[in-house]
Amino acid sequence: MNTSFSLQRVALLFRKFYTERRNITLLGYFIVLAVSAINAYSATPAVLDDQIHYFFYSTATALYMAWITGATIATTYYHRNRLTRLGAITLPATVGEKYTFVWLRSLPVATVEFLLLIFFVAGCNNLFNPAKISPMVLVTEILDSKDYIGMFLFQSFLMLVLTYRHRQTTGWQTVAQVAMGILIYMAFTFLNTASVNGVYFLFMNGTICSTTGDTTSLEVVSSMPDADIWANCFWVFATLFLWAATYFRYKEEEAQ
Amino acid sequence: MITINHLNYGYSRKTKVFDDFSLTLAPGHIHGLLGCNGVGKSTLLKLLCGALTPQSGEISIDGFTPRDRRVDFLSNMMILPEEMLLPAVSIATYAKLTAPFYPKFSWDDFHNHCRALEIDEHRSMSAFSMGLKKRAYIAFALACNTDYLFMDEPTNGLDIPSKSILRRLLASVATDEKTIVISTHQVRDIDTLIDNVVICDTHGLVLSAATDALCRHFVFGKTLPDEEPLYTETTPMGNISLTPNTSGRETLPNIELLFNATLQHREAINRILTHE
Repeated sequence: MNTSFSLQRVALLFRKFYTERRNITLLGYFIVLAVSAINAYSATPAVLDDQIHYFFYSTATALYMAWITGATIATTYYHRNRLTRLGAITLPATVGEKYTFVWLRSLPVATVEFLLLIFFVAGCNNLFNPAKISPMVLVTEILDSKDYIGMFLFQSFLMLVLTYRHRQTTGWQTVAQVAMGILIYMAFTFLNTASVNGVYFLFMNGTICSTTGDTTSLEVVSSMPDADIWANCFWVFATLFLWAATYFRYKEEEAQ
Repeated sequence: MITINHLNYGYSRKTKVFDDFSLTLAPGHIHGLLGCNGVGKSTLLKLLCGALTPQSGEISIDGFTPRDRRVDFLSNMMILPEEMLLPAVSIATYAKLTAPFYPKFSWDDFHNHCRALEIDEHRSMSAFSMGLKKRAYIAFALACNTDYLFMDEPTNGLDIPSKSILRRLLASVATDEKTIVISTHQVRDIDTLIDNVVICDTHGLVLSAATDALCRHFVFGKTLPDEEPLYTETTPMGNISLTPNTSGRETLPNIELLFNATLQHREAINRILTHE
């Protein structure tokens, strides 16, 4: 058997995962598609008033959170013992191959999200307010979708840390991992907020007004950061809770 | 060859499971890993298969460090956990998906083991009871033909005929190259099978001895009038004892008796064993 990195083994991991977990995988994709649709639709301020927008936005965020939290817990709640029972840790593949598998597994979901977002934003804007469609709007929305990609990267990171490194940790290692997770999430959030706000307020401020004469979207956009902040706070707290729950469950399990 | 040197491991810094633990397990044997609850039998198996990282010390299996989880090590090692999570597919499908990772996997062996353990290869394991799942996984694990086989409580959940089939299968797959380590509380299920006894307590290793050496040095069972037992247990069938073998008598080993005696007289037993 080839002992260096082997794409063949990564393919075998995929075959094994998708055959053994077919129902769960399909359900996961269904949920992410549904949530993506709501989330993307809510990201079209041109067609929604503020209240409906916030309703969609917070509903989507909550659903999204629930899904990611659920998926992460399902994967990692009984992480080490569960993976030992599944035979995942001792499956003869290199750590690099397992990492690649996990990352690649997240990639289609992130891609679908990304495409859906662009499709919905462009489609809805075009349908309801053709005058809004401009390359800058698309660019902005693409930048905005970094948030979702960031979430996926963060989720993948969480899963990686928990599944491949959290099997044997001391208290300090766990604290370090939590800190690292929060820092990475905050970095993505900062990037997202900075870029979206930056684009809107530095480059597009006045552009929409001057081209469409409509200030509605700009007002909505300018109030978006508030919603972002609350959603992000929710994320951070939920993440902390998840980490704490996992950690204490882990300790409890180990004590048995 | 499995070599453990000065192993330290604990799930927290305060609570040590292993403190300067050393042990050598030679190939070509079925090692019985015995100990009370919480002494670290399952932990030791997890350390041996690389699922846990030692805090310090060294574990070497044929020159590999298990925690490195190198493919060439993992593909030559199989662990049968006490409880396993099997997907809702048949064991045949599971084997088809997993066997490519194990170069020595034999489909002939797999079919034979399934037949011996009376497992329907094509029935979804979601409909299996715990015992059936265990039998199915045992069939797969043995068919992988790995040189290292670690089994954690393999007889838990098995019915009486299955235990006897498992003993037969293990005896048939045991070769000079293979190292089989069985951790169990049910010593009577495997006492005719194991040829090396490893007993641990909370302080670490208490005893590691081949069963033939044990039989050479001790008499298990009824004591003759002129013999002085080291340890005696009262059973419904009368007293049974562990007695130093001064008469050259040959008796079958009673591992449960040995286990209980060792926990009380570890130094005396080890002294007798080392005094050839």
